Amino acid sequence: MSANIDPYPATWHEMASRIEYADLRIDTQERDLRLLCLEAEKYRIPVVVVNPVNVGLAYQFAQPCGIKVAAAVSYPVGAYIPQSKMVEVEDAIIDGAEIIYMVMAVGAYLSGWIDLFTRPEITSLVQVAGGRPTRLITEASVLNKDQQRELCRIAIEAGVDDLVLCTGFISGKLPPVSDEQIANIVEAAGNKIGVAYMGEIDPPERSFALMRMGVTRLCTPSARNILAAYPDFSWAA
Amino acid sequence: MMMTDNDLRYSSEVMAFAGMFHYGILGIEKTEADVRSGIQRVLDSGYRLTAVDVELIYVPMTIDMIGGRATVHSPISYPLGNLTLKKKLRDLEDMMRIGVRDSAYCLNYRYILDHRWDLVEQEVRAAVEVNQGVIAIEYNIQATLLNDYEIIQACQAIENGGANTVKLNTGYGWGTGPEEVALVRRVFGQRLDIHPSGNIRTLAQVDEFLKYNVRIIHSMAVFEITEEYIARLQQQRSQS
Repeated sequence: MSANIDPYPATWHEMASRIEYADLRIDTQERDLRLLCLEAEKYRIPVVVVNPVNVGLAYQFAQPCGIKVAAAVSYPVGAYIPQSKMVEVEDAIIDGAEIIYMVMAVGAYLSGWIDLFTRPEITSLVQVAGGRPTRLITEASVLNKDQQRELCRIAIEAGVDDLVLCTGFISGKLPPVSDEQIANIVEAAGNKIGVAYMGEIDPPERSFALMRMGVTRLCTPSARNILAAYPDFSWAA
Repeated sequence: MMMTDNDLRYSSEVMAFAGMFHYGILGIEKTEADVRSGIQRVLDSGYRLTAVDVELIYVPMTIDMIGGRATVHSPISYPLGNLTLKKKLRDLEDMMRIGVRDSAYCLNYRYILDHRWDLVEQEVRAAVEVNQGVIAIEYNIQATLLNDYEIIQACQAIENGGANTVKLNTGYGWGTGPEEVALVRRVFGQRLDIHPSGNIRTLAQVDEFLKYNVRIIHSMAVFEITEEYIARLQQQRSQS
């Protein structure tokens, strides 16, 4: 095994603790949510991430296992006014969400509507979340270097816990976030905000590379394959 | 008297053809400039499209800019149908208030895939009751993910919920096939208005849908398809 694909972090337990296990598909069924929570428990993944409409049901399955539920608010497009998003955050909390992911209005930010949309929605996210961890989802691949750094600053000032690099939503239109873009954001983040990657990770060894680059959390449906890439991982864990 | 290119381009036949289309300017990365440019394209074309589709945050400027030349459309819970019913209904109310008059309402696909037709019907009925006919709503199912039975049951739930328009795909990634349109038309006759959407790029595709008496088509390629249509008319006229 080459140095590049040596597992990082070193143990699968440690990797599992940095994963938030996501099912954000269009065709998620009740049985998928049940399985998501069962697998999270089995593999010691602390959090499952689901669409807002599935938070209540996921909570029923997750809560007895000690798994937390995260809601992906305004996923995947995020093009709503801040007030509307905040009501959605409140609803998710009522339904059982303990962690809030929120897709920012990327188009509004790119349009320069920073004071009208970007700052209010990010500040409100933190306020309305009421101390629950917050993860702001962007699409770093459509931001230039300066915008990536500026967004980091805004998120840090607002007290967001993690900046999420991408939605992972496969539209076929947006380029994937590049290593250079990730490095730029990791540098801007310093140790003031976490940097998370969202979406499928294939091959699973890509997760090691992401972590080595400074990504601190993976929100992914690929948890099984990632953990199975550890030589010491046991399916009967 | 010979018809000039311009006469043909703006003939009632071509205007009616272009008038069937929704033109979408949707997506997470779409900026104010993108939307303005898209609307300008619509205005410059001289065609009166059925609707221009934009994200909710761009509705007010679209209404200002389009000046009544097309209906302004904004989707609800697009494209995954994954927002809560409360949120969807709030968005619907917001849209009614700010002047949206056409919308694609993405249903909760989990209910469809779990065969909870009662819940699908309830969701449609809730939206119909809030809407009170203000906005023309097409209820979106992701037919590509469904078998024939599920497509029929979902459409039945839409009808039972008090609506009469189905959009067969979100247009995100997947497209509507003529066989899906044929199936719904065969079972529901003219009771349901059917909106094909997704990956519709050519006149040949549109021709297929028109065989099933479709009146509205969603496509980002409306201008290219209309050019194809004009070229075909020119060819037909030169041969006659």
